[in-house]
Amino acid sequence: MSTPMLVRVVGASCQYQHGHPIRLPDVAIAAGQHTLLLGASGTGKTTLINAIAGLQTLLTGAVEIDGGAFSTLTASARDQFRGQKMGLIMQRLHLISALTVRANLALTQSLAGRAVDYTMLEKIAASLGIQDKLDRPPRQLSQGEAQRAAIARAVVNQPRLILADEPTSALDDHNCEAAITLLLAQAEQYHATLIVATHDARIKSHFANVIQLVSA
Amino acid sequence: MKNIGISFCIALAYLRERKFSAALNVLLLALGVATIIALVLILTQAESRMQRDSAGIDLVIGAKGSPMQLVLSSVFQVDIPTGNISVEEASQVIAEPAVKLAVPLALGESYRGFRIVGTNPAYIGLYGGQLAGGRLWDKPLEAVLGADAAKTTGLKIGSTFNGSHGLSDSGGASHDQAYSVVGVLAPTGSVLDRLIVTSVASVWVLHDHEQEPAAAGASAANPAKDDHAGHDHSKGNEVTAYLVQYATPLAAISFPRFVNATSSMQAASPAMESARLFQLLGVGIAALKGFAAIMMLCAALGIFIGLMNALDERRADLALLRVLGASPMVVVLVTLAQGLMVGLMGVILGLLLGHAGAEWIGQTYAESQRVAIGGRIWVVEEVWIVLAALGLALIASIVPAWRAYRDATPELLASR
Repeated sequence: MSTPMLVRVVGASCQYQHGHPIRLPDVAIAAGQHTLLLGASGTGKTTLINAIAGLQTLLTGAVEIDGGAFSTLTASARDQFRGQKMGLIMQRLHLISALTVRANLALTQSLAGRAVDYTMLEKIAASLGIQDKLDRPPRQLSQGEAQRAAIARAVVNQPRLILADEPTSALDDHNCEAAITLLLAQAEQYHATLIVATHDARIKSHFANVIQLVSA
Repeated sequence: MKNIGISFCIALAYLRERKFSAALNVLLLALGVATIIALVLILTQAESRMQRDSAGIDLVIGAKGSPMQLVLSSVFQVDIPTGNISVEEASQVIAEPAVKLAVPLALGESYRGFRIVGTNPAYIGLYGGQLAGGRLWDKPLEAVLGADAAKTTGLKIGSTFNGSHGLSDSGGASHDQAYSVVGVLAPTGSVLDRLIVTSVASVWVLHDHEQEPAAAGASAANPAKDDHAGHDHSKGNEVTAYLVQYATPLAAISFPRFVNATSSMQAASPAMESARLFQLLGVGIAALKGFAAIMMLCAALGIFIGLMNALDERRADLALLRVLGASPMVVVLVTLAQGLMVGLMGVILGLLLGHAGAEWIGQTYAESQRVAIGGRIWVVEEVWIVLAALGLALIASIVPAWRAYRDATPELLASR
């Protein structure tokens, strides 16, 4: 019996404002199959991640998640699904500036309809080495600390699918290793599938499934 | 419900982040609300007080001059009398069948800012006054204290005091002859509380009128005799005014004209003069209310500008809420909640300041014992002021909220 596909991108294309249509590669990723989308700048890694996350409206084609037509859901249903089932680490970190790191993590749980589990938040923060930064606003964090806070947010709901866009590019080797190890460990622990888009070849060795993207 | 809680928590965090501009908007709105609240409280209490003080008095007969001054001095005890009138002449007028009751008032004395009113017991009856202790006067230089007068002066039954010439707080020269306190009245919520009441004869005695004590000393036990004191036995004496009750409503048409046409006195209607007073004050009050309304509008504009500026800075934040699973309604609520919270804080602060302001004004004027105004009451109009202020804050937030709904979409983050 074959492993069911968790993510499938078929015949998808999209277009940025004032830009040309972009054809996305067809992708099929099985549940539990951690995948690296590797490519240089301009190869469409971020666009593909955004399309899978439902942040990018498709011109053609479809994105299926867990066998369901995710890309055809209404905007609100897509937001709800994403909040509950996906963890996102975006290229620009986008933590909510007015809230502390702890409140950012708690909000992520609340918006997914979960009860806030502060013990779990602290455990995740400790595993990323930011437990002493929990009560600080994002502007008081270094770039690396903010990136780790974003990773904490991505895993806090124990999602089925974790999408990370350049999660390690701002980290030094030590923290890069720690972050990708945590991401993979979280994915394993909660049976989530991790998809990482990056040009950072340092983490290539952690992934058995690497999709090399090339410029169209 | 959970979405509302989340929205308000985020909104509060956003307000804390730009607390200076939020505080300015709160203050501006609070000043507008406070000004209107204080005006409403003062006017409501002043109107209510004037209605209570003039209840049962259809007409005032006094010396010619300003009718408003006559009413203010004789009914509300807040102005200087227009002069004195002859008891003999007045007696002829009040003997008309149109008059049911005529209560004499002899003013000109005070004690520590409290006016001493020479009158008869019917005056106390006009305000439903009851003795809290002691008795009414029996002879000249016996006095009964209103509730506030007794409390403030500390005078008790059996105490004596020397009245001063004049009605001002500072007082004039003191008389040699002292009054004895024989009774204290229970509070009535009217002008009576702030007066020291005695017989007309007491005032005459102090002013060295040639007067037979028996005639002048109208007894409390026999007020009719006091009423008669003027025309039967008091020829040549003067009083300040008569407070008149009509025998029939029709008297209101002809009797004032009769007084004005056939005597050297004037007749003034408390109802008409009160209405005229509020009409005169109306321009100033309307200007103050308008100024306060402009402050509230400026505050609403401040909320609008603040939210629009914040929206430009926080569009990505709001889009992130959608990315994390928030419904579009949460984004709208976060924006509306900021406006509403500023509005709510402004209203609460405004209510506190308005009431404190009215209390302060009341305390300031209480020293002169002329106006009984305070901030410890609530009036229905306040509900409308609160709703108007919150409505303004809400309206100011609608456009930013709509823009947040339209622009802060997950796709926004995809393009960044």
